[in-house]
Amino acid sequence: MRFAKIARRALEGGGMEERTAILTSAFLSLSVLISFIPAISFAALIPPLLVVKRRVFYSLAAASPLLIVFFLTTLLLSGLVISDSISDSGLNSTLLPAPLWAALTSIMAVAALISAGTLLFTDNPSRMVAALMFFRIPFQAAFSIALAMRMLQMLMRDLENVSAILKMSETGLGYYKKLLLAITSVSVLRGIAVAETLYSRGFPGNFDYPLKKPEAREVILLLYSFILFLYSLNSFF
Amino acid sequence: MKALSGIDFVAEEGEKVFIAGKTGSGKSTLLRIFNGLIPFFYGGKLKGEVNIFGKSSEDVKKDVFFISQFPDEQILMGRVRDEIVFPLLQRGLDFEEAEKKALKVAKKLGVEDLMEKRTDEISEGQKQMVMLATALASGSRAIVLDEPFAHLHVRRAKTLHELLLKSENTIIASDHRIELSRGFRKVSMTELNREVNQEADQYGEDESEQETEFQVKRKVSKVVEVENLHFSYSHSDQLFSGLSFEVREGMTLAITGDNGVGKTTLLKILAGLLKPDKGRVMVHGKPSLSMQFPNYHFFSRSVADELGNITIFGLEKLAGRHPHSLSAGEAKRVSIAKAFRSDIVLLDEPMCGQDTSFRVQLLNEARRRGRTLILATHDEKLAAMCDEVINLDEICKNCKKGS
Ligand SMILES: Nc1ncnc2c1ncn2[C@@H]1O[C@H](COP(=O)(O)OP(=O)(O)OP(=O)(O)O)[C@@H](O)[C@H]1O
Ligand SMILES: [Mg+2]
Repeated sequence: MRFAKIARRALEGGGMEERTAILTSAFLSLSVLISFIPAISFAALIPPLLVVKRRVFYSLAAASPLLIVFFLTTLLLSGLVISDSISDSGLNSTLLPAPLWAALTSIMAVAALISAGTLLFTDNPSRMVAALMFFRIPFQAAFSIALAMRMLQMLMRDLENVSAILKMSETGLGYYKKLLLAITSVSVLRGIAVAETLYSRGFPGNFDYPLKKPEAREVILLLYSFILFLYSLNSFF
Repeated sequence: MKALSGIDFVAEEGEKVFIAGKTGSGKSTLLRIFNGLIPFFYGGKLKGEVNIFGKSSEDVKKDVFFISQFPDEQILMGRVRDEIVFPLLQRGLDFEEAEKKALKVAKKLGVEDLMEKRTDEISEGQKQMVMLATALASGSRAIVLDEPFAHLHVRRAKTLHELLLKSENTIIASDHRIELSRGFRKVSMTELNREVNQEADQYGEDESEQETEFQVKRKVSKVVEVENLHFSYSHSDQLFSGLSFEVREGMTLAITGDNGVGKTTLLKILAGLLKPDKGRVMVHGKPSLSMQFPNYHFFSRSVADELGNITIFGLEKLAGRHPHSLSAGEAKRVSIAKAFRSDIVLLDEPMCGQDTSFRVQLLNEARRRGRTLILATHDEKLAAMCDEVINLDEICKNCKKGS
C-alpha cells in the first residue's frame, strides 16, 4: 500500500509551536480564500515549505487524486461557462487560454490550502489540544481532534495490514471489492472500541497540559502570514 | 444468546483474584460488567444485582480501570508519556507531578525508555506494557485486566505478576496461563458460569492429547533462506544487522525474544510485507501470515466461508458464526486455520487466547499436513516443542557486537 505509506509520512507532523501554527495556518488559508490570486497562493506556500519542509510534498502527493479532479473540473466548467469576469478581472495572462488559467488559479489555491493545513499536523497531539484550549475551545471538542489523528494512524495501519493479508489470496477486482468492505467494517469496529475506551476512562475530566514557548522564527512567520492576510483583504475591497 | 448465568462473585477490597477459563467461556463479558461497560455501554439484558464499591456499576469509572485484550484500541494519545499521564491529568493533577508518577511506574515495569516513543511505532507487547503502566499509575482503586500477560515475554510477565501482587489495589485478572495465578485467589469460569458453559467446554478440552510422532522424512529442500539480513524502521535503531538462517521443508521453527526485539518484524519480512534494507530473503513457495491481532482480518460473512475447505482445530462448531462476533481467542484460531491453507505457515503469537492443549494440536496438525511452520512466541513450552528455535535476544546481541 504505497498510498498508506505516503499518507503516514505526511501525517508524521511537527515543526511549529502549536498556537502559532494555528494562527499562521488560519491567516494563510484566509488570504488564499479571500483573494484567490495565484501570487498570494504562491506566497502562502512559503511558511509551510520552511517549517514542514518535505512533508508538504507528501501531503500534496496524498491529495493528488483530489487535485487532479479539481483541475479537470475547473478546466471543463470554465471552458463551458467561460466567464468574461475572468478576462475582465485583469488577472488573466495573455499567454494562457482563459480556462487553463482558471484551472491553474484554483489548483494553486487548493494546493496552498492543503499546505497551510499541514502546519496543523503536530508531532504532539496533546499539545495541540492544549493550544486549542488556549483559544477557548472546549476540551471535548479539542480532544476529539487529537483522537481523530490517533484513529487515522490506527486505520492507516489497518489498511496496510488488511491489504497485505488480502493480497495473499485475492487478485484483481475481488481484491478491491473486499478491501473496501473490510476497511469499512474495520473503521466501524475500531470506532466502537475507542468509544468503549473513552467510556471506561470516565471521559472527559480535566486536562492541564504544558504549552511550548514560540520561537522568534515562528513569530516572524506568523507576522508574515498576518501581513499576507492584510494584503489580501486590501485586494478584496 | 445467553453469555452468563447464575454468577455469584465477590471480591474484597485489596484482594487479588484470578479468573481462569477456556477460550470463549465468557471471561471478557464478566470483566466488562465490573466497570459498567455491560450493560450501560453495550446494552443487553442484565438480571440480578451488581455492586461495585457499594455503588451501581454505572458510575464507578474513576474507581475501576479496565484493560481489554486489545491494547491498540485502549491507547488514546500519540505519545507513550502522554498516555500514561492522561488519567492523572483527568483527575486534576498538574503535569509535572503526573509525569513524575508516570516515570516511577514506567521504571518499575521497565518501559522508561519508551516514554518518548510514538504509540503507533511500538510492538504489541510494548503497547500492552504501556497500558499496564497507565493502569498502575492511574490511582484507580481497582484494576480489571483481560489477559494482561498474553503478549509479554516471560521475564516481563513475572515482573508484572509481582507488581500486581504487591499493589494495594483490588486486582481482577483473567488469563489462560494458569501458572501466573500464583498468589491470586483462583476462580474457575467453568464453575462460575456452569449453566452456560456445559457446551462451550467441548472443544479444546483434552489436555491429555499427546504429541504424536510422525515419521517425517527429513527433507532437504530449503524453503526459506535468509542471508545477511539488515533492517530498521525509518527513524529507529537497527533491528537486524546480518541475520542469517534457513528453514527446510516440513520443519517447525520458533522465533523467541523479548518484547520489541523484532519477532513480528521478521515474520513480516518473510511474508514479503516489509523489504529488507540489505541482504537476501528467499522464500520458495507461498507463505501465509496470521498476525498478532487478526480480529479484523476477515472478509466473509461466516467462519465457514472464511475457512473454505479446510477442517482443523475443531472449528466446525463455529462454522455458522460471523467472524466479527467471535471472542478474541476464537478469532485467533480461525486466523491460524486460514494460514494453514498455504504450505508455509507464519504465525505471530499463536498461543494467545488459546487453551494449553492447543500447543500439541498446532504442532500435530503442522506435521500431519507437512506444513513448514514458522512462529513467533513467548510461550516457552511451545518453543521447546518446535524442531528449532531462534532466540533473537542472543542473536541481536551478537550482531550488534559484530557491527
Ligand atoms: N511501524 C513501526 N515504526 C517504527 N518502529 C517500529 C514499528 N513497528 C515496530 N517498531 C519497533 O521495532 C521493534 C520491533 O518490533 P516488533 O513488533 O517486531 O517486536 P516483537 O518482537 O514482535 O515484540 P512483541 O513481542 O511485543 O510483539 C520495536 O522496538 C518497535 O518499537
Ligand atoms: Mg510482535
